Amino acid sequence: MQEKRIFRQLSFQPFYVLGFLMIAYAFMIDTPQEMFAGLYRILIAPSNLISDYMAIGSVGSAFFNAGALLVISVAAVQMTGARITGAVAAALITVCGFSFFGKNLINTFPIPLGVWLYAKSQKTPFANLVHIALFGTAMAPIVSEIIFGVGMDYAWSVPIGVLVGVTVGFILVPLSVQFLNFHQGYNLYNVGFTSGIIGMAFVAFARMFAVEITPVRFVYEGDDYMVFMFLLILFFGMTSYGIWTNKGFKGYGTLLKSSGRMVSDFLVEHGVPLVMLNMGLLGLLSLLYVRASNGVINGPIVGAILTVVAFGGFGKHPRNVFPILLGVFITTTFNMYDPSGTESILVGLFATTLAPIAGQFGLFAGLVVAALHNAMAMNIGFVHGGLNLYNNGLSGGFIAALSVPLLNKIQERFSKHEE
Amino acid sequence: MKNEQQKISRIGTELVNYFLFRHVTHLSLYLSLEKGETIIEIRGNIGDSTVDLESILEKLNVPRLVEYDDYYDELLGQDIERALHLVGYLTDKAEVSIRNQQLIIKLWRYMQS
Repeated sequence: MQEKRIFRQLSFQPFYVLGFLMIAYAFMIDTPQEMFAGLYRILIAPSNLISDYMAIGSVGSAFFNAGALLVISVAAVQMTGARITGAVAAALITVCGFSFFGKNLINTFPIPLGVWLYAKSQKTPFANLVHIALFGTAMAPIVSEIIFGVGMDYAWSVPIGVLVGVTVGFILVPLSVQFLNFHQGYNLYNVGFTSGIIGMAFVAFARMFAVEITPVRFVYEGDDYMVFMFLLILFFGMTSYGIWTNKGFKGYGTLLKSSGRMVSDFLVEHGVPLVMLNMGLLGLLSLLYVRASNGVINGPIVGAILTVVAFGGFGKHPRNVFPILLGVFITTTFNMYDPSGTESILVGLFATTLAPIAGQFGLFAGLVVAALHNAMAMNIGFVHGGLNLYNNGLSGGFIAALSVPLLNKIQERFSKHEE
Repeated sequence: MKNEQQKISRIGTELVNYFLFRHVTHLSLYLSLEKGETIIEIRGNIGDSTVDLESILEKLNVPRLVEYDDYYDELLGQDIERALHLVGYLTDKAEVSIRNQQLIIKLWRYMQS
């Protein structure tokens, strides 16, 4: 009888290192005065989509915000006693990525508090839900919007904003568990889908009382050399570390064969070296996509790239990501949207939430769902007023629900013919 | 969150699905819910067909992840490809064997304090 494999989990150290590196880099880019002035502007921004912290604050302050939030999140996860599974690693890096456009040191805390209260009420260890708490910060703009966006007095807006954030966190777990069934695990940003539905209900309710969430578009379009170099060195370093510790590409073929459908915990099933290699390659592929699209690497795009990398331990790899990127790239070449625009590139990178469909049903299915996702993601932001940062998670849920039953039928028919 | 009985029910359903999709002709499921330990054993007649025991064990022998107990178990019963991995995450020990044309999978799940 074979014994169960032992889970040799990744230590917390690399996450702390990345966080502190980002903080140090912030001070290299900006003077302390510029950095803290920028950070203040970030903290009081309503932060709904698209609020690029590099444009609102500065490049350095966006790096500081992301690094600080990563360090605090890692420390919080460590305190809960949770282990670094693929899901937790994905959640931590995603939080870091979205700290370039929407999550900040103020608006993220009420939602995990709500999840913690839910865990207490259900007598479930919070450590088991900590990744949901982190992903749930997708709704962080709802807190900022209430506190800073609707023009209420702080004496009212702060407690109401915090209360709404806590409430969102409290209802997030049971809802997101149920929504897994909606897309059958083919949409990797499940909490994004759930947050989108919650945001949709919230915004609809607000609009009923003539409270309008003002759409914003703050996008950095300046020099991206320093940001590009940071990411290039980071991903090159991760790839090299993976190859070095794994002594080559041994076993990577097996990882690439996985469809990536939930739950594909590469960190648990394939180990740290291969996941580092996979993450590094996904990062380099994402950078290539942005450059091929002629885009500027601003805050939202850094967030999107880091999110692709984050899921390198939890369902994404170049084989299932490439068809999706290619599908969106082709679609944006022919549609009315600017292919080099931030929105188009964001959709391309975030569309990889549907990578498991390409992984399971192949290249052509990947191209088709990517095109559908492009159309859906560009139109669905209105329903949640940009309060759900994982807009593509919402869109991806619908596209998966729309396409997977049909793809299954097609696959069944072809396999019958083969029989 | 879900109680232990619900979780066992999902694991059992997944195993039954796994066997049914392999066209077994006779199937029996045995459950033992003792304090501190649950045993799930399923056996099905596979006739002369060949089964890759190594591959089944490989999937079931992924480490137990209590972190996934209360969330991703929702996906059980939906996916033949990832099903056994998911069952593996939710159980502590697995044995797989073939006896008298019967495929037997026996799983142990220990209570977490």
